[in-house]
Amino acid sequence: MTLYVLRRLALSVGVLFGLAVVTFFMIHLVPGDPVQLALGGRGTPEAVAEVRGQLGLDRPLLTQFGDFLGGVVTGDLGLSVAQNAPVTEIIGQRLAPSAILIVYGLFVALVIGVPLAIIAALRPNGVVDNGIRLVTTFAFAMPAFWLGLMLALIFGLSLKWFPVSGYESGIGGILRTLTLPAVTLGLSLAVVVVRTLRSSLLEVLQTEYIDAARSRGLGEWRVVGRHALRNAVMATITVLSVDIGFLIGGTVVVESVFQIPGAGSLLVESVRARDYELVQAIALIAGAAVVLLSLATDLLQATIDPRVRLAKR
Amino acid sequence: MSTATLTPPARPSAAGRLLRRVWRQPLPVRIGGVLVGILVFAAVFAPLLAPYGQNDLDFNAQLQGPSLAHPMGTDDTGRDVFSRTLYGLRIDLAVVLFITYVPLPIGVLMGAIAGYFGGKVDLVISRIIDITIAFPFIVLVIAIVAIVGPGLTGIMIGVPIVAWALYARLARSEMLVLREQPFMLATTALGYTRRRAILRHAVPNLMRSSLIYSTVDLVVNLLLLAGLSYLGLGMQPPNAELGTIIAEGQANLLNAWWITTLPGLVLVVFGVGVGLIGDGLSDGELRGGGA
Repeated sequence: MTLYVLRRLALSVGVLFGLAVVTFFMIHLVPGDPVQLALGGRGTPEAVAEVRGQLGLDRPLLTQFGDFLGGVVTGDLGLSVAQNAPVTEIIGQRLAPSAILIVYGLFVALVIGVPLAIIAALRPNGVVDNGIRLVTTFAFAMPAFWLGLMLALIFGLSLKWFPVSGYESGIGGILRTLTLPAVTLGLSLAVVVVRTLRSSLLEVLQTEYIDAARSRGLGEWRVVGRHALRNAVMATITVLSVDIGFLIGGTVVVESVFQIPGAGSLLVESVRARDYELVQAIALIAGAAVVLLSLATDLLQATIDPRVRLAKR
Repeated sequence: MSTATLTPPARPSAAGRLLRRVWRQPLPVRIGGVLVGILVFAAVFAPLLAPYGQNDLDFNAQLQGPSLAHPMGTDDTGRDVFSRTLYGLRIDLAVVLFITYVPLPIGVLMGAIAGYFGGKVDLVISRIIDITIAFPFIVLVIAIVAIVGPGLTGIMIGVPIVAWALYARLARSEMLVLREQPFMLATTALGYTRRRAILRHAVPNLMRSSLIYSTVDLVVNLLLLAGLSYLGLGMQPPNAELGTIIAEGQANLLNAWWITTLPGLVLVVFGVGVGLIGDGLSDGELRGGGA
């Protein structure tokens, strides 16, 4: 186990370093000039040079990279020119709503996805299974921002059950303001949960130990709930860990639809404000979050299932 | 034993053969094909089908509900939502084709190279793939759009820079199996150059699964493009694009539901159509000869 943890840890550190390299060099490799953009494309050569000096972009590339990397390690991601405040401070204030939204969305996806997957797997190719497949096909094709607007129209503006924008903290406030966004985010993920859990349940239900459990006269609930689900859940955890990036990316759109002051809507605001330092930092933090969360799920899997840590040795 | 002389049956025309092959597919694939076919037709012939120009203002017909004159109603400046949706779909599909099928061959080639050579080449390419995929897709694309500047150009540069990695990962894992196949070993025995072995013999075999995966990617990219435009980072107003039409309708969500709802439904129908086709193909039920 220790060996597996160390190997997995080393891999994550490598990818984290790679993320830092990409976010830093992107600005130099991708065609386009954020300094010109920041000046509205009408900057005189002198003005461009001055802004470049302010941002330290006129120094040798490797010096800049060294400083950037040092800053990343010490938690200093530079200064936002547009807001005149440290980038980490600005982002820090906006992380909580995003984190809560992601957890809530994941919860919604599981609450909707797991029961549907079980029902579908119990009678494969039956009427219910085909119905669920049709619904998930539709849900997959829905743009998240459009789904959010439709939910806002029905449950916010027409039925007035929830507010359609803004964010309040506290349990009551979160339930009021984040339920519609979490359902928006969770529905698209629930599709993935239903599909993978259904197919891995189908596989497990054909194995001999399930036959054995049934022949011992155990009830169907017990066979599926206690015996089959445990083995099928691994595939779902794997898929969820792959989809962490999708969840984090989804918050960008969903937060903008419901005007939630989170890190996702901050990203969009920063692009509009041409605040490149902030964009860079958010991209890096989002990438790091994905790497760390998938590390966590891998370790969780290795703890639950010894086959994982033994196979990858 | 029949004694009748064997006359070869008349070969049907290419279009006829295609139609017959499509018709032999499972029902969901046929339904999907019809849905996508209608939308593609509408998009290609948008200038002929649209009853109004995409930016024709009509201040005598603001915020009108769906009617015969305006099948999808009008927006707050009296523009015909149906016409805007047709033009929007046209630009959307064109951009989506570009951002899906430009990274595909690049990714397949990179994956093929990584899988064929193994060793250090594989290590370098695989790490680049890992790092690219580690970022949340949309976040990395937005970061690139931030450098290039908002607009379709930004998206057409940003998405391929990220999206090749998915195809590369798929192609690499297949190449690891493929390179042990007798016909690939034969390319070495026959003294073919590596370039010829990869480009002529490996890549055509790797394309199939990438092309099937690309049907999912088409929908994902369409939703991404509409999403970015909705956020104001894609198509710039006043020109029509499905995401921007929906965004513009948001202000009148309650009193003019059609501006946001109906163009969104077009996206859903396209996604369902492609999804039905993709499901049918990946089930291995592609009938009617080799693909």
